[in-house]
Amino acid sequence: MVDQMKIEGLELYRSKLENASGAWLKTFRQRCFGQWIEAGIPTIKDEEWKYTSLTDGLDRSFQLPSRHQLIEEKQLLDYLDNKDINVVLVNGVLWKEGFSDLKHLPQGLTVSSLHTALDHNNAEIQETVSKLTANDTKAFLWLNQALFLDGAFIQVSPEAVIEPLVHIIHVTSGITDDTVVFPRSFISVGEAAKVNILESHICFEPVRYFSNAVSDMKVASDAEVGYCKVQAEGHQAVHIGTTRIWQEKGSLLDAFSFNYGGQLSRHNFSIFLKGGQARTIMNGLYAIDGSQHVDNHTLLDIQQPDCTCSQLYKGLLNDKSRAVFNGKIYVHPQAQQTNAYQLNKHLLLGIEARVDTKPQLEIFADDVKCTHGATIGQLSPEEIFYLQSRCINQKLAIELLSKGFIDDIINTIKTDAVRVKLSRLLLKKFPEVKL
Amino acid sequence: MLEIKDLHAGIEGKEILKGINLKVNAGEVHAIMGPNGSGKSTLSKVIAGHPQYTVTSGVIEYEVNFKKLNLVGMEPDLRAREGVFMAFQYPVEIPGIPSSVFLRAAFNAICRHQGAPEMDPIDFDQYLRGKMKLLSMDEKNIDRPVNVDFSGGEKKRNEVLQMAILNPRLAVMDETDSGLDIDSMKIVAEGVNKLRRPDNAVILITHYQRLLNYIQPDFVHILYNGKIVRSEGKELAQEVENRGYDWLIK
Repeated sequence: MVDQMKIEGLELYRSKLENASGAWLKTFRQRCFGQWIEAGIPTIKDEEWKYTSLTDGLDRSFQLPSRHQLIEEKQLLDYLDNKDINVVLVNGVLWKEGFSDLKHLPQGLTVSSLHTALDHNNAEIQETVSKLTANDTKAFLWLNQALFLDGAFIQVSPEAVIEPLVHIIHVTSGITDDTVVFPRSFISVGEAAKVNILESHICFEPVRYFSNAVSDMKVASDAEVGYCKVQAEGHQAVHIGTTRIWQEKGSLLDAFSFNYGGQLSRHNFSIFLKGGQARTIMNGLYAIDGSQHVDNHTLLDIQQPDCTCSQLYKGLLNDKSRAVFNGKIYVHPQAQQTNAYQLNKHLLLGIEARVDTKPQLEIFADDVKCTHGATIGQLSPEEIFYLQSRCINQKLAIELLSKGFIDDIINTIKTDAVRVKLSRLLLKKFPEVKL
Repeated sequence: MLEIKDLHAGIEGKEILKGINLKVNAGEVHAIMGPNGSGKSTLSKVIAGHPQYTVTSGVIEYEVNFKKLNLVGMEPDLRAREGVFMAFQYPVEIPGIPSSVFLRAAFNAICRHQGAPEMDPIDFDQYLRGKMKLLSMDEKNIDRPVNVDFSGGEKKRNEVLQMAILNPRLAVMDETDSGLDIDSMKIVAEGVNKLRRPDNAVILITHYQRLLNYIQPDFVHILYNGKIVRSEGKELAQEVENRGYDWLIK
């Protein structure tokens, strides 16, 4: 018998959802719900959840969102930037009032309801969302598929070059404590198109909730995509997210995962290099404090020859926060001439902070160049002494070095608009690391 | 300016300096030479206040602006703010911190210490670029992280740049010549010579004599087994070059 999540009013919610769904989506939801019930909430006995216990976070009775109103509009306006294309979803539903005019977007970019797209029998996305891959959160992927209300469907036409940043903002707002929300997005980038996408999960209200998110993206051949996920949930939130990106031949993906908010968060992030000569950067930063727990499970799945991947994940842990990193690079037998690099570095500022890291390489091709490694540590005494010998007191030296540790990874983000937003968030949490 | 009296110091319980006596006056350049393992680098680190080294006895008297300080026991950053500078044999790489930010933090720490107004980023940028030009340094490095991916020569030149910015009273240069080709060494030496003034002093720690062709010392000391075994004028360096160290330590 597996543990089930208690959700009030589930039957009514489900029947409403299924009635509003077309034939394909209805069947899909029912199937996923069955799989979710069968799987139940994973426990620490499950190898994939060994270091992340969901007992405290999910052992309560959850509500489903009934309203989709934006309460803290001012704070949202402070967070977003008018120069960007802002696609706002409130509790999983597209917010059509104000913000960017989604009917007058740059040529080659369309934003619409994912629910509608699935109902209109868009075979491409039906097929993609139905996939189950090796690094998915499984139970939570199914839960989202069964119960998501709607999502953002972003399409970039072949050869379109979208200059402004496309910012998908999943806001949780106007809910009572212990609500569960299901953010969802689907991004399709056409051949040789260029676009930068930022996907934020954010909440400005002091509520306790569970955000169960799924994002899928398809990158067609020769496209160039910048993608960043920002997890800036409320400090009492549980966030479990699955992100999956499929890359075709010759495409370039510059991806970043930023974990910042939430009491407990888990991000299963997978990138599939389906075509040869694809290039991927998969970087990430978790900057946490208090008793925050953040768990990253990543997969770089290299299926074809001549691909180049680099992965650098950094963790800054203050107080008694805790991080888990499990990063896998899988090189298929035909993926010869792969060049892959993985590094996971931590800076532990809190004496009680803890890290469990497991970088993994699984290589089935014989002519490849792959390296990996992980470091966990405090600041080096030699570095602190160097700064002190240059007149800088110990406290400031530690702040500067911590900031350097963060900036080193933040500066790998090429899109200024994204980097600025991340720096702003970091400044709020680590005000001592400013200058 | 500096008077070291019967200094004993070591690391992890092992005594390395076994009674150093050294007097340095303002305006002087002292060279400290010696074979490997004689304690040269330890001496520089103990003057700068490296936390891994323990002083077991003796004093390091340092006189600046009419006040006498015993450096032993002072925090390294306080020593630095009082005008003591050490150029590292192996300068540390600091990822993520641009040179301009690092140097301004250092410079303004001195300003605060002296009760002077701090310099804003724009003025400091001008000041820094001026000093870089003086040392024929590539101004592109201004925004690069400190020493990261620098060549050996660039790192050493960066040490001299920091010295130029911080304008110390006492500079201790720990094997600044090691790992430098002849051109880099000339640039580094020129940089140091430009910074020589009647009111400051330099201690050059070196294994070889060749740096002393470019920076003329007033005194040469031979350090062996934790003690200064001989002190003479600059001719001593040439003699060491010709005869080695053996004759001095027998």
